[in-house]
Amino acid sequence: MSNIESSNAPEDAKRRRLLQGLAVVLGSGTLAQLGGGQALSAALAWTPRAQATGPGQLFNAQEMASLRAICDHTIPRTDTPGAVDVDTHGFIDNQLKHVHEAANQQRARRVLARLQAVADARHAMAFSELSPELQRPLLEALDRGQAPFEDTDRGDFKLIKGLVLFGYFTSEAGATQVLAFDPVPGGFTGSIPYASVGKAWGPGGIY
Amino acid sequence: MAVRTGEPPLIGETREVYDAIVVGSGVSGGWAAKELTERGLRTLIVERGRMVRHREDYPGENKRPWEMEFRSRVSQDTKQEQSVQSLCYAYGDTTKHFFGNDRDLPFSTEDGTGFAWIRGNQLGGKSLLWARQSYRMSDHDFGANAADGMDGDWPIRHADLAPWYAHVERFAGISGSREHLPQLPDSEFLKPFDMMRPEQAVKRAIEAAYPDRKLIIGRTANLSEPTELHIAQGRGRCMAREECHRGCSFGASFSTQSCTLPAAAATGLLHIAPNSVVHSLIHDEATNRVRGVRVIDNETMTEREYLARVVFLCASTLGSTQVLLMSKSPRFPNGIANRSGVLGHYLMDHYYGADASGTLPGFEDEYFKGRRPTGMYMPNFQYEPARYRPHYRRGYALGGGAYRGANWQGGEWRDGFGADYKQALGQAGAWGFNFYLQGEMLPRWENQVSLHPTLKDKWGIPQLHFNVRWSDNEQRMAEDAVVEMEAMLRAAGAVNINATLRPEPPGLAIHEVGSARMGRDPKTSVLNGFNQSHDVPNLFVTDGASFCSTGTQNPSLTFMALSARAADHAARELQNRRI
Repeated sequence: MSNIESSNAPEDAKRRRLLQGLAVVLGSGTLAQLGGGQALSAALAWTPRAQATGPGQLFNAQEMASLRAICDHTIPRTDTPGAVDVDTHGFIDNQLKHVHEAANQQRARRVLARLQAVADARHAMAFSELSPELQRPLLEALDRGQAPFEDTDRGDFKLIKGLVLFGYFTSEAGATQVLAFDPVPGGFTGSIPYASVGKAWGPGGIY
Repeated sequence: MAVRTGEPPLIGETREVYDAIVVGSGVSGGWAAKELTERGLRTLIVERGRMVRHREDYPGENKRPWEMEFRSRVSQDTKQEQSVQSLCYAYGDTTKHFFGNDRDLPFSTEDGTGFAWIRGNQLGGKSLLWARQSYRMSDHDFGANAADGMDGDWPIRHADLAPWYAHVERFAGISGSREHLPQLPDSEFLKPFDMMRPEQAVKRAIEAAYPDRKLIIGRTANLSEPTELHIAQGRGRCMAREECHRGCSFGASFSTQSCTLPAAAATGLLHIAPNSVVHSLIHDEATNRVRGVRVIDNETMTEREYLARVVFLCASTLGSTQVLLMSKSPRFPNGIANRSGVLGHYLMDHYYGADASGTLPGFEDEYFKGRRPTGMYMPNFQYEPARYRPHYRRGYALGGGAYRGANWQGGEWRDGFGADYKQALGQAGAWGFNFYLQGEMLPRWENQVSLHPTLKDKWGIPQLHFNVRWSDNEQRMAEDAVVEMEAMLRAAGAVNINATLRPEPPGLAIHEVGSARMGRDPKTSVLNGFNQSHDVPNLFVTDGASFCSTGTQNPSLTFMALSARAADHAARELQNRRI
């Protein structure tokens, strides 16, 4: 068990903040009972890498490059980080590999292959090597299920797009900068003006 | 075993003869231990699982999604290994350690039937995981079997339980609103959680269209505003984090750890034997008393015994019934306390398999702050035979409420890319309202658990075999509820309504009750009105196994009241040397 008061480890810093919050609520007398406790583990088997290139666990290098481009088009960097900045494509690869059934993995690969085939047919180039201006019309057609893409392609693409959104808005940047982050609300208030927040609350306790 | 300051002694081997043993430490066991120790009884909690210490052992608490590899989801490997537990709505990366391990806890179901046995397996049991909805049963519920001409009349009525409901409510802290409804007695309440404006509008519209129906804020075991008593317990106000299932270090959510265990420990009379799987009860033929429990160590498989003058079985509905079935002797060849033969029978759950949702236009400027620990609740409006529908008996409660998600949730179906798309995704979406069904299940002899004739778990204990089916009554009720939910949402102005059946196996409501029911007649019941075995006077079963019917209310508040009342009775019987 670490000595929470003097440790600089991020997980202990976070636990210190929680305990400080508790002290406000409960009074510091109760805090004495809390003891050292276990450091919250922040170790991940997969960690984000912003400049990730090369193959993933599920996708090959070309598929990963396409996925990276899809992430960039879907959620670009603006005044806040973009999906690529937080390695959403790496997250998707990891999530599909470990959390999703084989059927979803196949759907994702199939639609990336369709995208690749159309890029090849139209421009004789890999999708990821096209300029963004040439990538966008292909993605828009896929997103809408317009020719040369079909409705099943659209459905498969929505699976990937949903993962982009889930991966981004549960990332620290997405959840705390683009959304309104409120880890310890202090209680429930049933009616406030939406304008006082101006954006959606970040993911809460159950995702 | 290591003792920490202020913690009850942890027991391995001992020859001590306790005044009381409590098997299980969930909602029921925690309350039994508290009430018994507070009456001067040296009490041993015998818990099959590991220690879980308040605040220290809540690894999921305060975890942010990006701190979890799968952002709170679990891997396919985990889902396959935990194929039953992972069906539970509350199962995820932040809570999986509070569920039983399917690998070690096998059970079987009769061909053509299903059951999802959701289990805790640690100190605190499912009190760490429960959704905290807390409702009193009314005389309409206690009298429903009799009113329907079925056997299995509860031997108690609301008047018997009312002082104990009040007692547990004040100590646990139940938030809710006084409604004066005949089918849903009011509790001793802390102030209710706020309704959101769309919920107030939906309530007005539905109650105007259906004057016999009420839509109220849910009643929940969360400290909306702690009293001096709660603060003295070391508990604080609910912070509305929606992390109750992970363990609440603020103690605002009721659990054994936050509420009943500290009170029992404060008496100095509580010991705890963790990692102690109860195999069977030790019965003394000569005196016709239980003398204690036979235990198999959770980890080492060694055997030991714990002895006491009275035994409380609070091991959860199915856990308690399994121990009773396992406790065979010449006098009780079919399981202790089972001369009636009804042990294992009349198992029930709530019927959850239907829900409805729709979009609520408007309210664009309305928002909320915090993640409320309760939804809304519609009490059963078909609560007596005169109000039944013609084609099925009894009725149902509805949960649900308003919600306003973020545009990114499901946002992939909004076509688009780029900066504007990103900006739109970060905004709050349209309001919606949903209902979900919680239907009463009729008690039927045929719905039963028994010990498997050959298959055993790793402790050598025969696993349970389930034979439970929904009946036509539940099916017709669900189909009718789909129609009613849709109609009410329409009356409330919702659009794009989707009302559907969503069949699931019994067990997934996690409100399993019955199988060791109470009753006036020892020939047709296991327990008397004080949860005391008819056959063995110093044996009490105070968890859901004792129920005669499900009612429509979430059962845990009734577990608390029954356990406290039975403990009070047992202490008096012991002191007067009647047991």
